[in-house]
Amino acid sequence: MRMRYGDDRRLNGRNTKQSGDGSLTALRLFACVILLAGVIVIRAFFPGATEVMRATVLPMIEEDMDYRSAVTAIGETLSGDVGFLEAIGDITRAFGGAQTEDAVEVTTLPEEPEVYTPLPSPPALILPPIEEVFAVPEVPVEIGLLLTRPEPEEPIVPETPAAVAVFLAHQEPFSYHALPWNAAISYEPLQFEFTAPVLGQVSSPFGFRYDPIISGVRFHFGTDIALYTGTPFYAFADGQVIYARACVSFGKYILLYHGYGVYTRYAHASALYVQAGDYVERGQWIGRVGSTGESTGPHLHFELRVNGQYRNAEFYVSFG
Amino acid sequence: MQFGRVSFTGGFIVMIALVYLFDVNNFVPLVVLAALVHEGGHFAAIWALGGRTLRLHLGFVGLRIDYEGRRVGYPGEIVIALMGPAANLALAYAASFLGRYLGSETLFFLAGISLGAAVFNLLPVYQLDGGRALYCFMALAMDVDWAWRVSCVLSCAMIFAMLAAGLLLFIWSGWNFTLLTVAIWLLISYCKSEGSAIRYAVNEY
Repeated sequence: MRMRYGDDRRLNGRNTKQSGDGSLTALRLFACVILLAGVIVIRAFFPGATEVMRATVLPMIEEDMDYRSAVTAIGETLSGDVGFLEAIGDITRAFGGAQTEDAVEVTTLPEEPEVYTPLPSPPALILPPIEEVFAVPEVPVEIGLLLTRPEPEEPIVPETPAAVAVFLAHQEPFSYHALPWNAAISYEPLQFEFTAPVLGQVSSPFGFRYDPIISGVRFHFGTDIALYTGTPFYAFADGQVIYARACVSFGKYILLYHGYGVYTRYAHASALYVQAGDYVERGQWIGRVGSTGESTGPHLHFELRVNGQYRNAEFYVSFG
Repeated sequence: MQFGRVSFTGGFIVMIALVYLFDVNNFVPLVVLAALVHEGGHFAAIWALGGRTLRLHLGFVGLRIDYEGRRVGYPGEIVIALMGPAANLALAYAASFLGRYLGSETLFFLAGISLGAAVFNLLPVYQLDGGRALYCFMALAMDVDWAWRVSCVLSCAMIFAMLAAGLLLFIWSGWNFTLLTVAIWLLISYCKSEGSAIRYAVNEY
Protein backbone atom coordinates (compact mmCIF):
# COMPACT_ATOMS: atom_id res chain seq x y z
CA MET A 1 0.00 0.00 0.00
CA ARG A 2 1.25 3.46 -0.79
CA MET A 3 0.99 6.26 1.74
CA ARG A 4 0.28 9.78 0.62
CA TYR A 5 3.00 12.27 1.37
CA GLY A 6 0.70 14.43 3.48
CA ASP A 7 0.05 11.54 5.85
CA ASP A 8 3.72 10.72 6.35
CA ARG A 9 4.06 11.65 10.00
CA ARG A 10 7.75 10.90 9.95
CA LEU A 11 8.24 13.97 7.84
CA ASN A 12 5.44 16.29 8.91
CA GLY A 13 4.11 15.47 12.31
CA ARG A 14 7.09 15.60 14.62
CA ASN A 15 6.99 19.12 15.90
CA THR A 16 4.24 18.94 18.45
CA LYS A 17 6.20 17.91 21.55
CA GLN A 18 5.96 20.44 24.36
CA SER A 19 8.08 20.63 27.45
CA GLY A 20 6.14 19.31 30.42
CA ASP A 21 7.30 21.18 33.50
CA GLY A 22 7.92 24.84 32.79
CA SER A 23 9.82 25.68 35.95
CA LEU A 24 12.15 22.69 35.64
CA THR A 25 12.95 23.61 32.06
CA ALA A 26 13.66 27.17 33.11
CA LEU A 27 15.97 25.97 35.89
CA ARG A 28 17.86 23.71 33.51
CA LEU A 29 18.21 26.51 31.03
CA PHE A 30 19.40 28.86 33.76
CA ALA A 31 22.11 26.37 34.78
CA CYS A 32 23.25 26.12 31.19
CA VAL A 33 23.41 29.89 30.81
CA ILE A 34 25.49 30.10 34.03
CA LEU A 35 27.83 27.48 32.57
CA LEU A 36 28.23 29.42 29.34
CA ALA A 37 28.81 32.66 31.23
CA GLY A 38 31.43 30.88 33.35
CA VAL A 39 33.24 29.63 30.29
CA ILE A 40 33.24 33.08 28.72
CA VAL A 41 34.54 34.65 31.93
CA ILE A 42 37.28 32.01 32.25
CA ARG A 43 38.36 32.47 28.66
CA ALA A 44 38.30 36.23 28.85
CA PHE A 45 39.84 36.88 32.26
CA PHE A 46 41.87 33.78 33.08
CA PRO A 47 43.78 32.97 29.93
CA GLY A 48 46.36 31.21 32.07
CA ALA A 49 43.84 28.72 33.44
CA THR A 50 42.46 28.16 29.96
CA GLU A 51 45.96 27.40 28.70
CA VAL A 52 46.60 24.89 31.46
CA MET A 53 43.34 23.10 30.79
CA ARG A 54 43.92 23.05 27.07
CA ALA A 55 47.46 21.87 27.53
CA THR A 56 46.02 18.82 29.30
CA VAL A 57 43.21 17.99 26.90
CA LEU A 58 44.34 19.20 23.52
CA PRO A 59 47.58 17.24 23.14
CA MET A 60 45.38 14.15 22.93
CA ILE A 61 43.67 15.37 19.81
CA GLU A 62 45.97 18.05 18.47
CA GLU A 63 49.44 16.65 18.63
CA ASP A 64 50.40 15.34 15.17
CA MET A 65 46.98 16.24 13.85
CA ASP A 66 47.01 19.63 12.33
CA TYR A 67 43.30 19.92 11.68
CA ARG A 68 43.49 23.43 10.44
CA SER A 69 46.15 22.66 7.86
CA ALA A 70 44.26 19.60 6.70
CA VAL A 71 40.97 21.47 6.32
CA THR A 72 42.74 24.37 4.64
CA ALA A 73 44.43 21.99 2.20
CA ILE A 74 41.05 20.54 1.26
CA GLY A 75 39.62 24.03 0.75
CA GLU A 76 42.59 24.98 -1.38
CA THR A 77 42.06 22.10 -3.81
CA LEU A 78 38.60 23.32 -4.80
CA SER A 79 40.00 26.21 -6.79
CA GLY A 80 42.83 24.42 -7.96
CA ASP A 81 46.31 24.03 -9.02
CA VAL A 82 47.03 21.41 -6.37
CA GLY A 83 45.56 18.12 -7.54
CA PHE A 84 43.02 16.31 -5.42
CA LEU A 85 45.30 13.32 -4.88
CA GLU A 86 48.13 15.53 -3.67
CA ALA A 87 45.69 17.17 -1.29
CA ILE A 88 44.65 13.79 0.02
CA GLY A 89 48.36 13.15 0.54
CA ASP A 90 48.56 16.39 2.48
CA ILE A 91 45.64 15.36 4.63
CA THR A 92 47.13 11.96 5.34
CA ARG A 93 50.27 13.78 6.35
CA ALA A 94 48.40 16.15 8.57
CA PHE A 95 46.62 13.22 10.16
CA GLY A 96 49.79 11.15 10.25
CA GLY A 97 49.52 10.72 13.97
CA ALA A 98 46.31 8.81 13.51
CA GLN A 99 48.22 6.04 11.81
CA THR A 100 50.71 5.56 14.58
CA GLU A 101 52.63 2.36 14.16
CA ASP A 102 53.28 -0.11 16.92
CA ALA A 103 54.93 1.41 19.93
CA VAL A 104 58.58 2.15 19.35
CA GLU A 105 60.98 -0.08 21.13
CA VAL A 106 62.98 2.23 23.27
CA THR A 107 66.50 1.03 22.91
CA THR A 108 68.53 1.31 26.03
CA LEU A 109 71.58 3.47 25.84
CA PRO A 110 74.70 1.48 24.87
CA GLU A 111 76.95 0.42 27.71
CA GLU A 112 79.63 2.97 27.05
CA PRO A 113 78.05 6.09 25.65
CA GLU A 114 80.20 8.23 23.46
CA VAL A 115 81.86 11.02 25.33
CA TYR A 116 79.90 14.17 24.80
CA THR A 117 80.23 17.57 26.29
CA PRO A 118 77.17 19.76 25.87
CA LEU A 119 77.62 22.47 23.30
CA PRO A 120 77.88 25.90 24.85
CA SER A 121 74.97 28.29 24.66
CA PRO A 122 75.43 30.81 21.90
CA PRO A 123 76.69 34.16 23.08
CA ALA A 124 74.15 36.96 22.77
CA LEU A 125 75.46 39.46 20.28
CA ILE A 126 74.07 42.97 20.22
CA LEU A 127 73.35 43.90 16.64
CA PRO A 128 71.09 46.98 16.52
CA PRO A 129 70.11 46.85 12.80
CA ILE A 130 68.57 43.41 13.23
CA GLU A 131 65.94 44.80 15.55
CA GLU A 132 64.63 46.82 12.68
CA VAL A 133 64.30 43.69 10.58
CA PHE A 134 62.77 41.52 13.28
CA ALA A 135 60.42 43.28 15.62
CA VAL A 136 60.76 41.62 19.00
CA PRO A 137 57.16 40.65 19.88
CA GLU A 138 55.55 41.80 23.07
CA VAL A 139 56.14 39.39 25.91
CA PRO A 140 52.93 37.65 27.01
CA VAL A 141 52.13 38.53 30.58
CA GLU A 142 51.24 35.11 31.96
CA ILE A 143 51.24 31.62 30.55
CA GLY A 144 49.42 29.32 32.89
CA LEU A 145 49.13 29.59 36.61
CA LEU A 146 52.60 28.30 37.35
CA LEU A 147 54.53 29.33 34.29
CA THR A 148 55.04 33.00 34.79
CA ARG A 149 57.21 34.52 32.14
CA PRO A 150 59.68 37.01 33.55
CA GLU A 151 60.38 40.21 31.69
CA PRO A 152 63.50 39.82 29.59
CA GLU A 153 66.41 41.75 31.05
CA GLU A 154 67.65 43.01 27.74
CA PRO A 155 66.55 42.45 24.17
CA ILE A 156 68.24 39.41 22.70
CA VAL A 157 68.84 39.57 19.00
CA PRO A 158 69.29 36.73 16.53
CA GLU A 159 72.55 34.95 17.03
CA THR A 160 74.22 35.50 13.70
CA PRO A 161 73.42 38.15 11.13
CA ALA A 162 74.44 35.63 8.50
CA ALA A 163 71.62 33.29 9.50
CA VAL A 164 69.09 36.10 9.19
CA ALA A 165 70.43 37.27 5.85
CA VAL A 166 70.44 33.74 4.46
CA PHE A 167 66.91 33.19 5.74
CA LEU A 168 65.56 36.38 4.20
CA ALA A 169 67.28 35.71 0.89
CA HIS A 170 65.91 32.20 0.88
CA GLN A 171 62.36 33.35 1.59
CA GLU A 172 62.33 36.21 -0.91
CA PRO A 173 61.08 34.15 -3.91
CA PHE A 174 58.14 32.94 -1.81
CA SER A 175 57.05 36.35 -0.57
CA TYR A 176 53.69 36.03 -2.37
CA HIS A 177 52.73 33.07 -0.18
CA ALA A 178 50.72 33.74 2.96
CA LEU A 179 52.58 32.75 6.11
CA PRO A 180 50.92 29.76 7.82
CA TRP A 181 48.90 30.73 10.85
CA ASN A 182 51.07 28.67 13.18
CA ALA A 183 54.46 29.86 12.01
CA ALA A 184 56.37 33.04 12.79
CA ILE A 185 59.49 34.41 11.17
CA SER A 186 60.23 36.82 13.99
CA TYR A 187 62.51 36.17 16.92
CA GLU A 188 61.13 35.46 20.38
CA PRO A 189 63.68 35.26 23.19
CA LEU A 190 63.73 32.07 25.22
CA GLN A 191 63.96 32.22 29.01
CA PHE A 192 66.31 29.30 29.52
CA GLU A 193 69.65 27.94 28.40
CA PHE A 194 69.73 25.83 25.28
CA THR A 195 72.12 24.13 22.94
CA ALA A 196 72.23 22.84 19.37
CA PRO A 197 70.86 19.27 19.15
CA VAL A 198 73.46 18.32 16.55
CA LEU A 199 76.18 19.92 14.47
CA GLY A 200 76.01 19.44 10.73
CA GLN A 201 75.05 20.78 7.35
CA VAL A 202 71.58 22.35 7.18
CA SER A 203 70.08 20.65 4.14
CA SER A 204 66.64 22.24 4.28
CA PRO A 205 66.04 25.33 6.38
CA PHE A 206 62.91 26.61 8.10
CA GLY A 207 60.43 28.45 5.91
CA PHE A 208 58.96 28.09 2.45
CA ARG A 209 60.64 25.57 0.23
CA TYR A 210 60.06 23.36 -2.75
CA ASP A 211 58.82 20.19 -1.07
CA PRO A 212 60.62 17.10 -2.40
CA ILE A 213 57.78 14.76 -1.45
CA ILE A 214 54.76 16.53 -2.90
CA SER A 215 56.59 18.52 -5.63
CA GLY A 216 55.17 21.90 -4.70
CA VAL A 217 55.84 24.90 -2.50
CA ARG A 218 55.15 24.15 1.15
CA PHE A 219 56.14 25.75 4.40
CA HIS A 220 58.79 23.75 6.23
CA PHE A 221 58.15 23.97 9.96
CA GLY A 222 61.53 22.68 11.01
CA THR A 223 65.20 22.67 10.12
CA ASP A 224 66.70 19.62 8.43
CA ILE A 225 70.29 18.79 9.26
CA ALA A 226 71.84 16.17 6.98
CA LEU A 227 73.84 13.62 8.96
CA TYR A 228 74.87 9.98 8.76
CA THR A 229 72.45 7.40 10.13
CA GLY A 230 73.42 6.64 13.70
CA THR A 231 74.77 10.09 14.55
CA PRO A 232 73.71 10.91 18.12
CA PHE A 233 71.48 13.91 18.75
CA TYR A 234 70.99 15.70 22.03
CA ALA A 235 68.28 17.55 23.96
CA PHE A 236 67.92 21.25 23.10
CA ALA A 237 67.31 22.17 26.75
CA ASP A 238 66.14 20.73 30.06
CA GLY A 239 62.64 19.39 29.77
CA GLN A 240 60.23 16.50 29.79
CA VAL A 241 59.61 13.92 27.07
CA ILE A 242 56.03 14.28 25.85
CA TYR A 243 56.26 11.66 23.12
CA ALA A 244 58.89 9.18 22.02
CA ARG A 245 57.11 7.20 19.35
CA ALA A 246 56.64 6.66 15.63
CA CYS A 247 54.18 7.98 13.11
CA VAL A 248 53.90 7.84 9.35
CA SER A 249 55.18 11.33 8.58
CA PHE A 250 57.80 11.93 11.29
CA GLY A 251 58.99 8.36 11.59
CA LYS A 252 60.49 7.77 15.02
CA TYR A 253 60.41 11.06 16.81
CA ILE A 254 60.73 12.72 20.19
CA LEU A 255 58.72 15.69 21.40
CA LEU A 256 60.16 17.55 24.36
CA TYR A 257 58.50 20.22 26.46
CA HIS A 258 60.86 22.73 28.03
CA GLY A 259 58.36 24.91 29.90
CA TYR A 260 57.52 28.49 28.96
CA GLY A 261 55.38 27.16 26.09
CA VAL A 262 58.44 25.85 24.25
CA TYR A 263 58.39 22.45 22.50
CA THR A 264 61.09 20.86 20.38
CA ARG A 265 60.72 17.89 18.06
CA TYR A 266 63.43 15.55 16.76
CA ALA A 267 62.12 13.51 13.83
CA HIS A 268 63.15 10.68 11.44
CA ALA A 269 65.37 9.09 14.10
CA SER A 270 66.75 5.59 13.84
CA ALA A 271 66.85 5.02 17.59
CA LEU A 272 65.27 6.71 20.60
CA TYR A 273 66.85 6.51 24.04
CA VAL A 274 64.11 8.13 26.11
CA GLN A 275 60.51 7.35 26.98
CA ALA A 276 57.46 9.54 27.38
CA GLY A 277 57.49 11.05 30.86
CA ASP A 278 61.27 11.02 31.25
CA TYR A 279 63.02 14.19 32.28
CA VAL A 280 66.02 15.16 30.18
CA GLU A 281 68.83 17.62 30.68
CA ARG A 282 70.24 20.04 28.18
CA GLY A 283 72.69 18.20 25.95
CA GLN A 284 71.53 14.74 27.05
CA TRP A 285 71.92 12.08 24.37
CA ILE A 286 68.33 11.19 23.42
CA GLY A 287 68.53 9.41 20.10
CA ARG A 288 70.23 8.66 16.81
CA VAL A 289 69.67 10.25 13.42
CA GLY A 290 67.94 8.11 10.80
CA SER A 291 65.62 8.28 7.82
CA THR A 292 62.38 6.83 9.18
CA GLY A 293 58.99 8.21 8.12
CA GLU A 294 58.64 10.51 5.13
CA SER A 295 62.23 11.25 4.43
CA THR A 296 64.50 11.24 1.41
CA GLY A 297 67.72 10.53 3.28
CA PRO A 298 69.22 10.41 6.75
CA HIS A 299 68.71 13.71 8.52
CA LEU A 300 67.42 15.24 11.73
CA HIS A 301 64.25 17.27 11.35
CA PHE A 302 64.37 19.70 14.26
CA GLU A 303 61.33 21.81 15.15
CA LEU A 304 61.10 24.61 17.66
CA ARG A 305 57.63 25.71 18.72
CA VAL A 306 57.12 28.67 21.04
CA ASN A 307 53.59 29.37 22.31
CA GLY A 308 52.02 27.40 19.50
CA GLN A 309 54.09 29.03 16.77
CA TYR A 310 56.90 27.36 14.89
CA ARG A 311 60.09 29.41 14.84
CA ASN A 312 63.35 29.30 12.97
CA ALA A 313 65.78 27.30 15.11
CA GLU A 314 68.70 28.81 13.23
CA PHE A 315 68.01 32.13 14.95
CA TYR A 316 68.77 30.46 18.27
CA VAL A 317 71.50 27.97 17.63
CA SER A 318 74.16 27.49 15.01
CA PHE A 319 74.27 24.01 13.53
CA GLY A 320 77.53 24.48 11.69
CA MET B 1 13.18 28.78 25.44
CA GLN B 2 11.51 30.52 22.58
CA PHE B 3 12.09 33.86 20.92
CA GLY B 4 9.53 34.32 18.20
CA ARG B 5 10.09 31.51 15.77
CA VAL B 6 13.46 30.52 17.14
CA SER B 7 13.65 28.14 20.07
CA PHE B 8 16.64 26.58 21.75
CA THR B 9 17.41 24.18 24.56
CA GLY B 10 19.92 24.23 27.40
CA GLY B 11 21.86 21.54 25.58
CA PHE B 12 22.51 23.97 22.79
CA ILE B 13 24.05 26.43 25.24
CA VAL B 14 26.23 23.69 26.74
CA MET B 15 27.35 22.78 23.24
CA ILE B 16 28.29 26.39 22.49
CA ALA B 17 30.20 26.67 25.79
CA LEU B 18 32.20 23.48 25.11
CA VAL B 19 33.09 24.43 21.57
CA TYR B 20 34.02 27.96 22.59
CA LEU B 21 36.30 26.70 25.35
CA PHE B 22 38.27 24.39 23.08
CA ASP B 23 38.30 26.50 19.97
CA VAL B 24 42.05 26.93 19.55
CA ASN B 25 41.99 27.23 15.79
CA ASN B 26 39.43 30.03 15.88
CA PHE B 27 37.18 28.09 13.62
CA VAL B 28 33.87 28.84 15.38
CA PRO B 29 33.06 32.04 13.44
CA LEU B 30 33.73 30.21 10.18
CA VAL B 31 31.61 27.23 11.25
CA VAL B 32 28.78 29.60 12.18
CA LEU B 33 29.07 31.22 8.75
CA ALA B 34 28.99 27.82 7.02
CA ALA B 35 25.97 26.82 9.13
CA LEU B 36 24.13 30.03 8.26
CA VAL B 37 24.70 29.46 4.56
CA HIS B 38 23.60 25.85 4.96
CA GLU B 39 20.33 26.81 6.62
CA GLY B 40 19.95 29.62 4.13
CA GLY B 41 19.97 26.98 1.40
CA HIS B 42 17.17 25.08 3.14
CA PHE B 43 15.14 28.24 3.73
CA ALA B 44 15.49 29.32 0.12
CA ALA B 45 14.32 25.91 -1.08
CA ILE B 46 11.35 25.87 1.32
CA TRP B 47 10.36 29.33 0.21
CA ALA B 48 10.77 28.57 -3.48
CA LEU B 49 8.64 25.43 -3.17
CA GLY B 50 5.83 27.27 -1.47
CA GLY B 51 6.41 25.89 2.02
CA ARG B 52 6.14 27.98 5.17
CA THR B 53 8.79 27.97 7.86
CA LEU B 54 7.18 27.61 11.29
CA ARG B 55 10.03 27.30 13.71
CA LEU B 56 13.80 27.05 14.02
CA HIS B 57 14.90 24.78 16.84
CA LEU B 58 18.45 24.79 18.20
CA GLY B 59 19.32 21.80 20.36
CA PHE B 60 22.31 19.83 21.62
CA VAL B 61 21.97 17.52 18.66
CA GLY B 62 21.94 20.32 16.13
CA LEU B 63 19.53 22.48 14.32
CA ARG B 64 16.06 21.61 13.12
CA ILE B 65 13.73 23.54 10.87
CA ASP B 66 10.02 22.85 11.27
CA TYR B 67 7.98 23.87 8.32
CA GLU B 68 4.48 23.46 6.99
CA GLY B 69 4.90 21.68 3.71
CA ARG B 70 1.94 19.51 2.81
CA ARG B 71 2.10 20.81 -0.71
CA VAL B 72 5.80 20.12 -1.04
CA GLY B 73 5.73 16.37 -1.70
CA TYR B 74 8.59 13.91 -1.62
CA PRO B 75 10.46 15.37 -4.61
CA GLY B 76 10.24 18.77 -2.94
CA GLU B 77 11.53 17.25 0.32
CA ILE B 78 14.52 15.90 -1.54
CA VAL B 79 15.25 19.32 -3.01
CA ILE B 80 14.88 21.01 0.39
CA ALA B 81 17.15 18.48 2.07
CA LEU B 82 19.83 18.71 -0.61
CA MET B 83 19.82 22.49 -0.91
CA GLY B 84 21.65 22.86 2.41
CA PRO B 85 24.70 20.83 1.35
CA ALA B 86 24.46 22.42 -2.10
CA ALA B 87 24.68 25.88 -0.55
CA ASN B 88 27.71 24.72 1.47
CA LEU B 89 29.34 23.40 -1.67
CA ALA B 90 28.75 26.71 -3.44
CA LEU B 91 30.22 28.58 -0.48
CA ALA B 92 33.22 26.24 -0.46
CA TYR B 93 33.97 26.87 -4.13
CA ALA B 94 33.39 30.61 -3.83
CA ALA B 95 35.63 30.87 -0.76
CA SER B 96 38.34 28.76 -2.36
CA PHE B 97 38.49 30.83 -5.56
CA LEU B 98 38.25 34.09 -3.65
CA GLY B 99 40.96 32.81 -1.31
CA ARG B 100 43.23 32.14 -4.27
CA TYR B 101 42.48 35.57 -5.68
CA LEU B 102 43.12 37.35 -2.38
CA GLY B 103 45.81 34.99 -1.16
CA SER B 104 43.89 34.40 2.05
CA GLU B 105 44.50 31.25 4.02
CA THR B 106 41.42 31.90 6.16
CA LEU B 107 39.21 31.66 3.09
CA PHE B 108 40.75 28.30 2.20
CA PHE B 109 40.00 27.25 5.75
CA LEU B 110 36.40 28.38 5.33
CA ALA B 111 36.22 26.47 2.04
CA GLY B 112 37.45 23.32 3.76
CA ILE B 113 35.00 23.71 6.63
CA SER B 114 32.11 24.34 4.26
CA LEU B 115 33.03 21.34 2.12
CA GLY B 116 33.30 19.23 5.26
CA ALA B 117 29.87 20.42 6.39
CA ALA B 118 28.40 19.46 3.00
CA VAL B 119 29.94 15.99 3.05
CA PHE B 120 29.00 15.35 6.69
CA ASN B 121 25.39 16.38 6.09
CA LEU B 122 25.17 14.07 3.09
CA LEU B 123 25.87 10.99 5.24
CA PRO B 124 22.99 8.50 4.94
CA VAL B 125 21.84 9.00 8.52
CA TYR B 126 18.21 9.96 8.86
CA GLN B 127 18.91 13.03 11.04
CA LEU B 128 21.15 14.48 8.36
CA ASP B 129 20.18 15.86 4.99
CA GLY B 130 21.60 12.93 3.04
CA GLY B 131 19.59 10.35 4.97
CA ARG B 132 16.42 12.41 4.74
CA ALA B 133 16.78 12.85 0.98
CA LEU B 134 17.48 9.15 0.63
CA TYR B 135 14.37 8.27 2.64
CA CYS B 136 12.20 10.50 0.46
CA PHE B 137 13.72 9.04 -2.66
CA MET B 138 13.00 5.51 -1.47
CA ALA B 139 9.50 6.54 -0.43
CA LEU B 140 8.90 7.57 -4.02
CA ALA B 141 10.40 4.42 -5.45
CA MET B 142 8.89 1.83 -3.09
CA ASP B 143 6.52 1.34 -0.21
CA VAL B 144 6.93 3.99 2.48
CA ASP B 145 7.27 1.48 5.29
CA TRP B 146 9.97 -0.39 3.44
CA ALA B 147 11.70 2.89 2.77
CA TRP B 148 11.56 3.58 6.48
CA ARG B 149 13.00 0.22 7.41
CA VAL B 150 15.85 0.59 4.93
CA SER B 151 16.45 4.11 6.21
CA CYS B 152 16.64 2.89 9.85
CA VAL B 153 19.01 0.07 8.97
CA LEU B 154 21.24 2.38 6.91
CA SER B 155 21.32 5.02 9.65
CA CYS B 156 22.20 2.51 12.36
CA ALA B 157 24.81 0.82 10.19
CA MET B 158 26.41 4.16 9.41
CA ILE B 159 26.42 5.28 13.04
CA PHE B 160 27.85 2.00 14.28
CA ALA B 161 30.50 2.00 11.55
CA MET B 162 31.49 5.48 12.71
CA LEU B 163 31.47 4.36 16.34
CA ALA B 164 33.76 1.46 15.48
CA ALA B 165 36.10 3.66 13.45
CA GLY B 166 36.08 6.26 16.22
CA LEU B 167 36.91 3.64 18.81
CA LEU B 168 39.77 2.29 16.72
CA LEU B 169 41.15 5.79 16.21
CA PHE B 170 40.78 6.42 19.92
CA ILE B 171 42.83 3.35 20.80
CA TRP B 172 45.43 3.51 18.02
CA SER B 173 46.20 7.20 18.23
CA GLY B 174 46.39 7.41 22.00
CA TRP B 175 43.16 9.04 23.05
CA ASN B 176 42.17 10.94 19.95
CA PHE B 177 38.47 11.24 20.66
CA THR B 178 37.32 13.46 17.79
CA LEU B 179 35.69 10.86 15.53
CA LEU B 180 34.31 8.98 18.52
CA THR B 181 32.70 12.20 19.77
CA VAL B 182 31.07 12.80 16.39
CA ALA B 183 29.76 9.22 16.29
CA ILE B 184 28.36 9.43 19.83
CA TRP B 185 26.81 12.77 18.99
CA LEU B 186 25.09 11.21 15.96
CA LEU B 187 23.92 8.27 18.07
CA ILE B 188 22.39 10.60 20.67
CA SER B 189 20.76 12.58 17.91
CA TYR B 190 19.37 9.37 16.37
CA CYS B 191 18.05 8.01 19.65
CA LYS B 192 16.52 11.31 20.75
CA SER B 193 14.53 12.07 17.67
CA GLU B 194 13.83 8.60 16.39
CA GLY B 195 13.20 6.59 19.51
CA SER B 196 9.52 6.19 18.75
CA ALA B 197 10.24 5.34 15.16
CA ILE B 198 12.60 2.54 16.15
CA ARG B 199 9.89 1.15 18.42
CA TYR B 200 7.40 1.45 15.62
CA ALA B 201 9.55 -0.51 13.25
CA VAL B 202 10.23 -3.22 15.81
CA ASN B 203 6.64 -3.68 16.93
CA GLU B 204 5.01 -3.70 13.55
CA TYR B 205 7.27 -6.13 11.81
